[in-house]
Order: sequence, then structure tokens, then C-alpha cells
Amino acid sequence: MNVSSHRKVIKESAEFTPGGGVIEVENLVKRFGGKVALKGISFTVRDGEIYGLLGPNGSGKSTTMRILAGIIPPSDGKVVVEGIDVAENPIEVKRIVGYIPETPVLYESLTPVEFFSFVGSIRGIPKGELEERVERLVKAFGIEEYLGELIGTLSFGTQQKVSIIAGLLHDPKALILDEAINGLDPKSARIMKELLNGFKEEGKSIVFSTHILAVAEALCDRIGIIYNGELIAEGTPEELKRFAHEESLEDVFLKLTESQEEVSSLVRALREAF
Amino acid sequence: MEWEIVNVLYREMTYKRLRANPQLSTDWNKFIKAFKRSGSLKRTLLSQSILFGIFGLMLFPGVYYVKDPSGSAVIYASYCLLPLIMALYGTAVTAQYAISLGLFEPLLSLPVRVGGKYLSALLLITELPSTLFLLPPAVALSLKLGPVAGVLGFAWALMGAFIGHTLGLLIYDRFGKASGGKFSGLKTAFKAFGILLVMSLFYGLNYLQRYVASHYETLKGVFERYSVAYPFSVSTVEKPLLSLGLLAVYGLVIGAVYVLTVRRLWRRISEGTATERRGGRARLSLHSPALALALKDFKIATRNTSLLTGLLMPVVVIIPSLAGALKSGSEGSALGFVLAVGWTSAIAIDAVLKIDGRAFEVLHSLPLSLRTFLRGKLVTMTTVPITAGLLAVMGLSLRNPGSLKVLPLALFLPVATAGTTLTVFYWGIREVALPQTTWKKMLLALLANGIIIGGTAGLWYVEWFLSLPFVLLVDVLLLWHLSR
Repeated sequence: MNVSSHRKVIKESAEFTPGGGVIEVENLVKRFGGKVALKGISFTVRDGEIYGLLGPNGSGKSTTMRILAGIIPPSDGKVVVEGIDVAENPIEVKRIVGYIPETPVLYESLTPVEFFSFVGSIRGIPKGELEERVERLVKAFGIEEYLGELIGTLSFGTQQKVSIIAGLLHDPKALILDEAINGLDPKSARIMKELLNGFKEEGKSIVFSTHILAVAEALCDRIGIIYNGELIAEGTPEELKRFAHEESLEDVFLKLTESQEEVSSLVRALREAF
Repeated sequence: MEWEIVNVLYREMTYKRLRANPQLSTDWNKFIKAFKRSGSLKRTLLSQSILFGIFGLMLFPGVYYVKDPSGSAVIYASYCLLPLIMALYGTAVTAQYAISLGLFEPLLSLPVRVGGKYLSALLLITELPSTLFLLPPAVALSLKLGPVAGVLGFAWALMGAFIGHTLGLLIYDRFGKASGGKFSGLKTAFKAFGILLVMSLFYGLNYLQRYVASHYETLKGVFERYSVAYPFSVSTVEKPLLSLGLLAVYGLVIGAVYVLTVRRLWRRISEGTATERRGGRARLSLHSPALALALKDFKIATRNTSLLTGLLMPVVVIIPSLAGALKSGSEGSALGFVLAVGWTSAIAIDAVLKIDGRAFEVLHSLPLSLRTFLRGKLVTMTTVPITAGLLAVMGLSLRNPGSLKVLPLALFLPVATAGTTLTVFYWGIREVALPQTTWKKMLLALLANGIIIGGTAGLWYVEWFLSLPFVLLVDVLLLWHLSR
């Protein structure tokens, strides 16, 4: 099947009512030495929209996320967040964006409270606001009892919660979540989803990547599928299913990333082996 | 098979240690080169053995050139304290490090009964080359008292390392929880003292050598009286049967403690790095970004022995010049000490840049400018040398109040040298990043600091009060550069 033609059709028939473009990605290219990780992708995330970025491992999702958060510069193309060009002023972008990485990267020899104090100091959050937000988020994620322990001694899930809280402390205007729900227990994952819906209602823009397609389907207003550094399809979950003639987002994903046949043959081989 | 497991553990430990070094982890080629160089256990053991063997040559004359043969045994016995201290400290510190790296996690799901033996073997093997330090003096002992005494002497050195290793494991098993807890401040102070003690071993050794050589006749009586206790027992090498008997008793007792400890140790490894509450809920505290960075650095360093070692290094390096200043009491020697403090402030750059480790990514995601980052690192780099310098100069002033003239220099010179080093290393870099430590940059930093130190000294000798405005001018220029 010709995925490129699908993408074109889907983009033209987008059902989502457009608002102001808060995150605008135009012909984004990223090269790492001789390897081209992103081959000119373009998309827009609007006010109060949750945009899901799906794709197999190594497709370029995390690279896109890191560029949007101002962590790495683009090689070519333009990324504008709330009117600020990421390449020209990454620090200003970092001020308004909350970035939560796939694997929590934290100072393991600090306690969560010390880490929140550090992040709050660097971001210049007033003490009253910081205390109020930490208290609210810590309670929501149920990590009160771990606040005085070294981060390195906490479980992966609890570290992920610390990472999420740190990413939300400054009440960001836009959120970049790179598979941030992975590793959370069901209760926390639910809280996270509710939080994201709340942020959406407040008009914040959210770019969200996950491998849990049911979550993407339930949460995202629009979904972009990245494959080999290219955005091969984009639309609402319903549009994607309709145009790919599939009933579930999982099947759409496998079909568009040309993995359906491969998965079937691998499963057959495994069954034969055992 | 057992050797293979230890070899794999060593490679993994080296790999993780190198990956945690930000200067290597950001440059794959450099990393691979470093890993190839130090990832081979056999190669490391060989090079370290040669190095320690050569280092031990300086102990040879101390034993060989004593007229009284009994004196040689006494002097050699005093050296035997070293393998014990080194193995004890090395084991206690590295055990915690190795376990915190998760080296033993893959073994936990395998049918291994006493996995603690692998930790012990890993540490023992890496500590053994340091015992070769005592090989040259053992050779000297055999030349003075015969080959049996030499062999017994070296066997006692190995026994010392084994005692130290066993005690180290015992200490780790009993107290080796993650940093923090009720007495974390006290533990940190103890750890810092321990690091200074080990790092000052070289100076201590020189002193010990001179002291024992000039007092061995008095010490001989003490050694004979307490010949059952290590390291006094080493002086029994003159009486081979007694010495052998004592060695056997030590082997049995320490061996039994060792076996019991290693068995208990596996339980600790299985439970993972112990979680220790830091007691009570700490309060959120906000600071300026640069100060917050420095405070974060100090918190991390005080909970990580190797980083603390790097930060305290300037204190150790200035010990000889402080001793010289104390002895002479002159203003010139006080100035010499302050200049040494200035020099050594620059060397903390390595430790300071290593502090963030893998978590450097955190800084990338925060709205942190390079200037703020550098100001924070400047505070981290200079706090220890400035504190040590000010305290030492005040101490020196008790002997000669004129030393107080150098007090402002003790405050401002480290800022100038550390700031210059940071500026050179970050020249041409625009964002928060880790600089490449090239030879060119190192030479430039050395040269720039040489000019600052030389200028300060030169102006002092023209007219002492001229040196301060010079240093202040450098500080102002640097701070202006870091504030733009």
C-alpha cells in the first residue's frame, strides 16, 4: 500500500477544528553525522490540543520531542513554540515548555524535595507557587512518603513520577511528553490522563508519544505517525481508521508502518519454535 | 569459569564508570579507546602491579640501609600498615560503588549460592597490585635477614591486605547503606576525613619512614611487647617458626570472619542498595540559579565518595606548602601557600564537570544560560580552596600576624584562577555543554594561570599591597564576562 498517498488524503480531510498554531513544525530535518533521523516533517499543534506522535522504535519520535523542547537544535527547517523560534532562542522555549522524557533522567543522589527545589530555583518559580504545586502534584501521584529518600533508591515508576512532577512545576504553556506514561501504575496513569485533559481544557498544547495505542486513541485529538524519519500519516484516530480501512488504531499503525505481515510471520515462527 | 565471571564484572564496572564520565560519554571514539585501555582486567593488573612495584622502590632504602638487622624488620613492619589501610578503605568504598552500579543484578536471577564471593574476588583482585608496593622492601628484608624473612615479610603484607579487605567487607555489610539517614552529616565528615587521610598517605609515609628510622630502637621494644597484634607481628620475621605460627592463626581467624561475612553479603546484594530514610520531610528551598547549581553540586559530592575526593583534592595538594608555611612562619611562606591554593583551585575543574554525570541532560531541559551555569560551577570550584585557604591563613596569623596581609588574596585568587580555567575551557562554547579537555586548552589554562600567579607574586615583591588590585582586576573582568 502506498502510505504517502494515505497521508495526503488524511491531512486534507482533518476533522479537528483548527485553533491558533502553538507549536509549528515546518520541514524539520535532523542529521546525526551522516545519518538523517528526520527527513523534513511538518505538523502543527493548536491551542488546547493533544497531538499524539506514534511510530516504531527508532523512527524519530524522541528526536522530534527533544527538538520541540529546545534540547537539541534542528539541522534544518523551522520549529516555533508560542511564537518563539526554537533554533534562535532555546532557553526561552525551555521556560514555557514542560518536557518529560521517556526514561527519567534525574540527579540520583538528591531527594525529590531537593530536586524540586533545584528545578524551582533554576526556573525562578516563586516559593509560594512552588510549594503549592509540589504539594498538589505529590499528593496526586502519591509519593509523599518518598520525598525524603534519595532518588536513586526509588523504583522506576516513582522516579518517573518525580520526573513528571518536575516537568509540571512551572505550569508550562506547552507539554512535551515522550512516552511519559510508561512505567506508571494504573492509578497514576489515570491521574496523568486526567491531568492532561485538564491541561487541554486550560488551552495548553500537548505533544504526546506512547506505544500504548489504546491510550493514544482515548487521549489524542490528532495523531501523527512517524516512520523512518517521515510523517507518513496524520489525522484524528477516527480518520486514520477510516482511511486505512482498519478497525483498531493498532492495525492502522501496523499497516502504515508496513509491520503487519512481519508481525504475523514472526508470531508463526515463534509458535513453531515452542 | 569463576575467573570469567570476575572478568565480566570488572569489564562491566569499568564500562559503567567510564560511561558516567561526561567527558568520555559524549565522545564515543574517546570512550571506546578508554574502555579498550582499561576494560581488560589482565592488562590493568599488570600495569598497576608494575606501577606499584616501581613506587615501592622508594621504600627499599628505608629497610636496606639500617645498620641493625632487627631495625629492618621493625621498619618493614611499620610499612605493613599500608596494605591494611588501603585494602580496608578500597573495599569499603568500592563495594558500595560496585553494588550501586547494579553489577550483580544479572547474577540474582541465576542459581548462585554465595554471590558475595564474586564481589570479594573483584575487589581483592583490583586491590592486590597495591600490595606489590611492599615487594621492594620485602626484597630488602630478604637481603638483610635472609630469603625466609623476605618471603614471610611479603606474606604478612598480603595478610594485611586480606585483613583490611575482610574488615572493609564487614564495615560495608554493617554500615554500607546509601548515603543519608539520621547521621548523614557525621558520616560525610567521617568520609571526608577518611579521603583526606588516604590521599595524604604519601606525605604520611615520608614522615613515618623518617620517624621509624630515627626511633627504631625505642620502637623495637614496643613491637616485641605487642608482637601478636598486626602490624607489630610482622617484626617476628626474624623468628620464622613463630612468624609462621602467627600467620596461620591470623589466616584461620580472619578466614572464618571472611567466610561468614561473604555469606551475609549476598543477602545485602540481593536486597539491593538499601533505602535509608533521610529523616523527616525536607523543606523546599529556593536560591538564585547559580547558587542552586553549586548547592546541588555539593549535595551530590558529599554523597559520592569519588566526587568528594575530587573536590577535596586541592586541600591535599596544598598540605606540603602549608607545612612549609607553618614551619617558617614568614609572610613570604604564607604568600607561597596562598599561591599554591590559587594553583590548585584550577585542578578542581575535572571533578566539578563530572558531578552531573548522566543527569547532565536535566540541565539541557532547563532554561539555564551558559553564563549562569559557569557562575554556579565557579562557586563549586572555589568554595573548598577558599575555605581551606582562609582558615589556614588565619591559623598562620597566630604565629605571625603579618600573614594576615595575604588573607584577601586567599579569598580572591582562587576566583581568578578557577574563573580563568573555566573561561579557557568554555571558550567558543555558547550553550550549556561539557567542554572537550584538549591539550591545547589545558596548556592555555596553565599559561593563563601562570601569568596570574606570577603577576601576583611579582607585584607582591615590588610592593605587597599591589598584588590585591591586580587579582581584583582579574576577578572583575571574569565576573563581567560571566554576567554578560
